[in-house]
Amino acid sequence: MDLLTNFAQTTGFATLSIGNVIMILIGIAFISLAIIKDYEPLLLVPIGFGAVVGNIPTIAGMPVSVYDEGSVLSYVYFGVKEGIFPPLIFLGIGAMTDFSTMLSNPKLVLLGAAAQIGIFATLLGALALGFDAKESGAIGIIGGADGPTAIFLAAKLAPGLLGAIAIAAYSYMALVPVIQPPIMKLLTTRKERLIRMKPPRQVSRRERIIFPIAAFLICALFAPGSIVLIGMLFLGNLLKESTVTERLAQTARTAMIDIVTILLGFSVGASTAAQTFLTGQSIGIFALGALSFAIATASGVLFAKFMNLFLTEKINPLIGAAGVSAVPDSARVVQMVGQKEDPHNFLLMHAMAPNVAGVIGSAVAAGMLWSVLVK
Amino acid sequence: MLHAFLLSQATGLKGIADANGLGIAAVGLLIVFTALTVISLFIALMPKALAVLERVLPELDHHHGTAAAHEQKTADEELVVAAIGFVLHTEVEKASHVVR
Repeated sequence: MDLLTNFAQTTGFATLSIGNVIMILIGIAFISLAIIKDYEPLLLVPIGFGAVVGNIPTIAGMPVSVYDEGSVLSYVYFGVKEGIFPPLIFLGIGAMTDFSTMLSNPKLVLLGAAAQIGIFATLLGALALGFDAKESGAIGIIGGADGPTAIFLAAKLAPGLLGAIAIAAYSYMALVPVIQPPIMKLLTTRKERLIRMKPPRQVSRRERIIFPIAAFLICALFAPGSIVLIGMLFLGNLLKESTVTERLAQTARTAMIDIVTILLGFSVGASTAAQTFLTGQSIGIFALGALSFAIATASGVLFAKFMNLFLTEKINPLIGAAGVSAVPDSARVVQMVGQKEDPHNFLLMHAMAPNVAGVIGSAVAAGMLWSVLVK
Repeated sequence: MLHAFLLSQATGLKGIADANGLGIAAVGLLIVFTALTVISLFIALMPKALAVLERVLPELDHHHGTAAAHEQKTADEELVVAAIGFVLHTEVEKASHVVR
């Protein structure tokens, strides 16, 4: 009988808490959203399953979870915790990004900058809620709508909040088609939404090769903390645009990024154990995350309207929302909202310019916050 | 409810002031805007600078260049196909809404 009782004590059932059950259900919900609704499946499936795995209670003395030294999951999580995986993902992103729409209309880069107001507004909101400076910086970066950047900065500034920040960032990125359209419609008139923009010009190969090198130098000198993320982004882009390293570019944007995405998503999910994730702080982070996306969207749209005061060739202000660097979802949302007004107005290519500029902007912001707050 | 989040730090405007939040936000935005503005200016000037460079060092059409031209053509074709596919999808969606 004692043997049976002792055995029962070693099973997960004995120590499964309500919090664990809630997190397992949340993980299953993520998987369902990904498979049924096709919401960011490449991220939500590994994260959701990781949440299920990470919330199975373990026995004391048996290193199994991401937080147990020497466990397999802890070795996988090492890439997240030490900020290794995000730069590798940026390498892949750079190898699949086409900057030519941005190169053909450089003023749209400023819309990518404007959307980063969401980061700093959220930082202030986090400070007002009582988070300390480092935590607030890590929470603020959710407004950059960039998963790898959010994970990178959280790992450096607030590793204890990494799970909540990553889940919030990826959840809201998946909800971009829900969050952005009402804000875009509220801040623009029908006449503005109908603005058609000139087709982008052809960009030469030399421009596309020189750009990643020059842009890296500019960003790294302004914000040395962004060297890792920006460096890998533009290395990937140079591998693609040079055409002499197509094999490396192909690997970076396919096999490599897929491997890292699986490991990163799964280990981030597994880090959301109920005792660390289900806290009042997480609720605050989720609320701030929603606010950050809303402010970032509004900032981009309003800045586009501001630019139109000085431009003869008007910008469709809807594309300001694409400064939120959820590539390419926010650009697609712009296309969709624009086409509701005018089915023959194709804004997707124009929206890609602030979209990719936003990736650069959020990485620069992360580098700046890391430099200032790490001390 | 507010104190459920964090007890050890000041909240509200005091929390922002204690951490020099406004200063960090202002400097951060300045750096982001400045960096992207410089990038934007660089991109705007690049065609003019390359036009001068083209006279001194013309772009040669070697096999990598041919590959790039072929890639550009393929990329353009893919864009056209994607655009056609998107229009067709939109039209089908509209039709199905009418039917419903």
